[in-house]
Amino acid sequence: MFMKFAICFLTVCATMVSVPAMARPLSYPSGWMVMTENNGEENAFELNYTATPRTAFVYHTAYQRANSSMHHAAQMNNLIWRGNFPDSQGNLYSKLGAGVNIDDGDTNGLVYGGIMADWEDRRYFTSYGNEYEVIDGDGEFTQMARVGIAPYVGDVGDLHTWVMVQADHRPESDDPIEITPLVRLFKGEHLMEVGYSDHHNFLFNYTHQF
Amino acid sequence: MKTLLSTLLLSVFVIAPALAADNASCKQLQSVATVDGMVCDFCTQSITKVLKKDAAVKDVAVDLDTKKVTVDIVDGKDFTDETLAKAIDYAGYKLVKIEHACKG
Repeated sequence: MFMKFAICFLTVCATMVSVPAMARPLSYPSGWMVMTENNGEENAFELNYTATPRTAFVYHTAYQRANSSMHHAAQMNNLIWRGNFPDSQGNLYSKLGAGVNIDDGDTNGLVYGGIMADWEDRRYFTSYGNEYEVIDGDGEFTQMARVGIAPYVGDVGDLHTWVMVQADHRPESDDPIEITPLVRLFKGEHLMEVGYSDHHNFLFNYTHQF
Repeated sequence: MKTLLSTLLLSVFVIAPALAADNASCKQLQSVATVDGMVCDFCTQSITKVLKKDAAVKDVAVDLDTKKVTVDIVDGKDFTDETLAKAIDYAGYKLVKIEHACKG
């Protein structure tokens, strides 16, 4: 029953349209995260509070570079499924958000939703995320996928390094696919990512969990 | 009857004091949980922070290689296996087994 639901949900989301999933969208109950994500599309900031083992509430704001508009939204992330295996972990999340889009003085309603899925062990990483966003009646679908490998396996507290490749797909864009090789550095409560895409855009992401 | 009496006396005067002495020599009681799903430092942080909310927990050490979470228990405080199991589950991970150890 659950698998049927998961497959239907994934299919529906995939046919609609993906996105930012640089770090896990939930931490631990009563844990906080601040996240910033900067790339050719936007400069985004999120304040994330994990209320229960399966739910996080998020304040999301973003500056959209293409049209110089601002997003402000309240978002809810849910853990739909987690697989804890002896040497790896897999997750399926959903997100739903609502707020406003401010564009050149005009304020319009904004709603969006999507799914995120990841699987990783201490050596390999893979993730997928999508998002369907509606502003003033106009919808847009985006999706992204990542693969990564850790050149070495570190212990707790060490600096962990990942080499990753991210593919963004924006069907409505003139050049719909953007490939970004990046490096993820991860130590303790800090996660940082730096990359440069084939569209000549820098990527800089940072997450602090506390 | 004689055998039963001998066993009882042996228990009361030999085994029990030996066990008590052994417990007294244990400087630090530990619960050691084997946990599935721990793959990164954020997992370590999550489990450590959830466990440290319990006043009976003195310290937590996570080893990603052995998948073990070692909990040092505050002297005289009660920290049951059930409490540990609930905390691991609450942090979002899967408990495989719990063992007990004595440090020092």
